[in-house]
Amino acid sequence: MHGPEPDLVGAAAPRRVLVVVPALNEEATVGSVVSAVRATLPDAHVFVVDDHSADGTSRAAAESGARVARLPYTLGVGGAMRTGYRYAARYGFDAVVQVDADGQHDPEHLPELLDGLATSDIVIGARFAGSDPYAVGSARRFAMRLLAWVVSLVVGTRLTDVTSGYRALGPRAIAVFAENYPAEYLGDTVEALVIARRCGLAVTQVPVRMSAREHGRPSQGVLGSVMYVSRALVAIALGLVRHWVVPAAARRAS
Amino acid sequence: MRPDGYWLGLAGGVIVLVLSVELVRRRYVRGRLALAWVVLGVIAVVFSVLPSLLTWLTAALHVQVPLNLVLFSGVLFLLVISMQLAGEVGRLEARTRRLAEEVAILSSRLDDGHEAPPRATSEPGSPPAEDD
Repeated sequence: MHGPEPDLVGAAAPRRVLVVVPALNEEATVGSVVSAVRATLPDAHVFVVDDHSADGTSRAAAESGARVARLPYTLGVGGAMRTGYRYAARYGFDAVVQVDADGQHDPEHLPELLDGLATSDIVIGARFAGSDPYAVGSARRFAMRLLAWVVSLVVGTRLTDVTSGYRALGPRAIAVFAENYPAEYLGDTVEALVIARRCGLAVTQVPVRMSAREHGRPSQGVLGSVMYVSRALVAIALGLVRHWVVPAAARRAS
Repeated sequence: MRPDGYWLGLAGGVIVLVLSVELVRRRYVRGRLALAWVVLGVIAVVFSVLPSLLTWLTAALHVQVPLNLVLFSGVLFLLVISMQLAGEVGRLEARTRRLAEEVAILSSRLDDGHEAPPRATSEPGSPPAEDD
């Protein structure tokens, strides 16, 4: 196994780690994702939030050793993730890492993401940040670059991949997102960063490699990319305009 | 003499008043919304009993045609009501979302109490040990 030495992780990483895996109809892959995460971080809790899948996602996740929460109806990634944040806040976890159930996120990077929490509230596992074979169409790539640039301006940190769902969050970010986490399209990625900024959280990124999606494919065309950017800009605007409650636990101790 | 459509207008006003009182009485609408509906019903009856009141108000507000004033206020009222309803739907959605999330968390804790969930197939992986 390529897992790092436990004491090496224990020194830098927070002690109670919750790995949240939002899953919708991922019966085929969720089991191997959970197993890979547990192999990399043996002490972490793996919490699979089944977004009311029609297939055997819950059973597959439970059989691979994860704790499973099944939503009574489909809420979207944002709803599944907020379930994870609320769980983490309630049971006193120090860190949450989001790992997608489709196998796109390589658990190998988990320790790096968690190490980043020493200096930041949110650590994004970012594509396009280093040598990275992740292939997307040129229109889509341009759209993602543009979006990254806009969000970087808003957030005040240079970010290259703002739609990555591969993220680690520290205690203050958990407290904020347990209350405020949009369920709309792109709300869980782009808008969440704007919320983080407005609640005074520090955001950073580390380069990761992502494998291509095992199934499902993002829209690649020019029209699709235009739509994508428009919807993302709406998400950013909503994040800037909406009223967000900053929980006491998230206020920086002075 | 009664102007044309007097009885029709009066019937309309009475129907609106009766319906809105009934809505409130059966507790289908509550709070400020209920008040709005009853006030609307009363206004409808008052104006159908006294059409001259409408003529007077139209002149007072420098509106040319009485009917325009009626249509304008009607549209305004509907707009306000629909915004109120949109807000209510949004609030309900936020509440049901929160409930759904809580239900998911609670069910994950309940499954814990049993070695295997009641209807799971045999030989499930052991649930992760709780390290408090």
